[in-house]
Amino acid sequence: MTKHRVVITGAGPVSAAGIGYRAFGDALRAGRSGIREVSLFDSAPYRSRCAAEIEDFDVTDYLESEKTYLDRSSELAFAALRLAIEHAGLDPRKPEGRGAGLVLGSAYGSLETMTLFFADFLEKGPRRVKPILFPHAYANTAISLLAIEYGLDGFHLNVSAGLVSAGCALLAGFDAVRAGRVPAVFAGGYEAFNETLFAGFDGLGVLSPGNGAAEVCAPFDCGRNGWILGEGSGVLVLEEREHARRRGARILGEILGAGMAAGASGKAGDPNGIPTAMRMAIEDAGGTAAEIDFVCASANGSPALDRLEAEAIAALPGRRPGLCVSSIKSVTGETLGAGGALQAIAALAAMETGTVPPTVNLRTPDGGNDLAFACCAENRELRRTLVNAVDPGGSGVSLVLQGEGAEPA
Amino acid sequence: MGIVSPVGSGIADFWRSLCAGRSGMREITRFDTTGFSCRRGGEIPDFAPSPDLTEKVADLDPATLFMLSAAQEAVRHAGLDGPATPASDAGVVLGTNFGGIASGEKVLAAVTGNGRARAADFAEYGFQTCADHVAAHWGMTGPRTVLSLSCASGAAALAFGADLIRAGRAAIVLTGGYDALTPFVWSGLNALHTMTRDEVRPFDRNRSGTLFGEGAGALVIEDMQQARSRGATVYAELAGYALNNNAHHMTAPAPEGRGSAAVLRAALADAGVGPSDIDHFNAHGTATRHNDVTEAQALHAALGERASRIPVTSIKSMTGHMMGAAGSAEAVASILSIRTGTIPPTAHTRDLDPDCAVNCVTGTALRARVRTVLSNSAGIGGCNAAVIFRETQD
Repeated sequence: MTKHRVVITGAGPVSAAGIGYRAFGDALRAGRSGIREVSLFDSAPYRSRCAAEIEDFDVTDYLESEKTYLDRSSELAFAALRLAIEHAGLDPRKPEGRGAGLVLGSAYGSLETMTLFFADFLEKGPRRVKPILFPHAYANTAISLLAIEYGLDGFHLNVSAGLVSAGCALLAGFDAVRAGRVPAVFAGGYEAFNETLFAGFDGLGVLSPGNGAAEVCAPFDCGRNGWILGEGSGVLVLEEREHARRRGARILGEILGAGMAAGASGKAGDPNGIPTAMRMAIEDAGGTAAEIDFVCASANGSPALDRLEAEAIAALPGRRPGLCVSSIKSVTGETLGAGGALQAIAALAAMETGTVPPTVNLRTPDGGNDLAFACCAENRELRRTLVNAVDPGGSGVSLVLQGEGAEPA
Repeated sequence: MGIVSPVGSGIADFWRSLCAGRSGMREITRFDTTGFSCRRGGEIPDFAPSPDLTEKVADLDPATLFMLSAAQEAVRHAGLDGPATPASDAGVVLGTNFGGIASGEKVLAAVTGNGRARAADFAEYGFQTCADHVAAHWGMTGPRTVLSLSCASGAAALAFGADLIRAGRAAIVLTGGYDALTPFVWSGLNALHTMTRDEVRPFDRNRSGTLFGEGAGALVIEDMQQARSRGATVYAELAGYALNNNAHHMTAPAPEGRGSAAVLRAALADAGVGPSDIDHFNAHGTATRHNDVTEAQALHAALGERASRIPVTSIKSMTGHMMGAAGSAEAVASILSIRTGTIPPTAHTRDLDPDCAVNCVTGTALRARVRTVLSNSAGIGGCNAAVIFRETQD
């Protein structure tokens, strides 16, 4: 089977740390965290108090037509797709964008609208629910609305696979373009912050403890004590290389390979799929671990998952000594279904500027042997980046990205 | 293959019921339907998972238990339950509309001050959690994910699972779809006004809507060479598939069934077959006014004159619309049609709607040589999926 090369020609990140490719990359390099006290609702009943909420966001800046109702998750997805379309100069409504696919991931989709709809049912009864809300309460609401908005009637896939949702969406989009099924795919993920989400994770005890103990997102640090939730969205334009060249597109980078595997037990803390996923991605890229310059990690401050990831990276066969590792989640928060897409965009920005974004709050790395954890922004030549996504249930996705300057196109 | 459905759990019961035209619609008893316009559906009453799964009953969401039970049958059916099988390498790709929504409802109730939830309820709601439970039961370590494309979810899981095999990312994948009927689901579907007070009569002139059911379907798909070399029984080949979106409207079907027509054509192209190769169409067939007309139009657009000749059936007339499980249940039925040379009747359909113009199997099951089946799915938001199954030589 012919394998087409899959380049990245546009990126639309929406995060508490910044909106749009430039602003997002700048915030990451500067380590400007978007984590604050929760403002969308009263967080007093919960153990934790903080999150990375997106402020100064007006969805009407990103809509092609007026909408009567949108879940916040749909709003974020609309913004990321619009930014990616503009950044790539590839409009699905114009001839060169025809046939493009749409593949997105989200862990909890329209959870806020589900909450509103069901509250009416519980409080007022079946005859008093708002029928308009239900089509907005599906996990595929956002992707379907985007398909309608932009006439994206081709390949269509919506993933809901926890923290690997966006990673899996990128892998699916990569495979579809690589196999020649579609000339281009808009791929990524989105996740909205809301009280139901916060209450759920607070109850599970995975969030960094507030109320006295220092609430901090410190990936890989010895003192880490949990996640801090964030929200956001990221869409990447994956395009068959010749298709991109013919239309004179600016190429930001290339996806060289992907890997996906899982742990056997389904339990956080047990061995997960990331060691295998990383090895598979490197093999799929047709390269070696020694060619990897940077790992844009999934680590989010989880005591168990961060250690497993650090150990897996350290044990990666053939990797270079002092391999550079960083996590952007102390800046963006744990954006769940958007995570892998925002990390992939962060990787592109890092390779473009030759700057590893710092892992804010990381002072004393826990394990990882000789790995070079980026405590502050570091300038290096970065050609290839491994982007990791790990779910507590054991799934792992890894992607090998190459920067645009790495090889003359 | 494995199945948990309103017309029977287990392949044998399921197929016996379908071929006899037995409907699984009944009064909903699990929750109070007072105040709803419709009170009947495909509820699975007194569902009892097999003894080696029962220790999990208290902890797991009911939808997850449906999926685990269907997966258990499929794993045994595929000969993966013994030692020295590739089960530990298997991927898991599931599809669902609502995931562990019975657990999710408790979380929604608690956060709005209308009830209480355990911390674990939020975990059991998560869509990926079901796939984790399935994988953990058999120690499966291959690619694991969950798709949600409304009522095309079950078919989409087959398609993406097959993509993983074609791309060399897995040699064997357990795919499936699952969903459960709960107050959240019922209140939403009730508000969409698609349910009938009558029976489900796909393609009938007097059809007046659908009824919803619950359950799970599971299919083990495997690289053909690996399956042959381990001596597995190959029930059919997954010859081709396609996924797309109408890009038209959240709830209204596309004019002339354009999106469905495109997905059917794309599936034919993917399988490398033409209209004359298709012997049977396993329809989405929800029995709403609009679906059946536009689906028939789509079939005509994709197959031309062959569309009015090949036998068409909709098992939703008996199972109800199983939502995320529908595509999986219909895939199982499609494969059983190939294996047994029997096409189940579209129960309750008597007086065919001339606007649909399809050769709908009515009354009793049809004996027919079925080599290649086209199975169609569609869902809210304009999601479409089509899957083609082909006979294999044993």
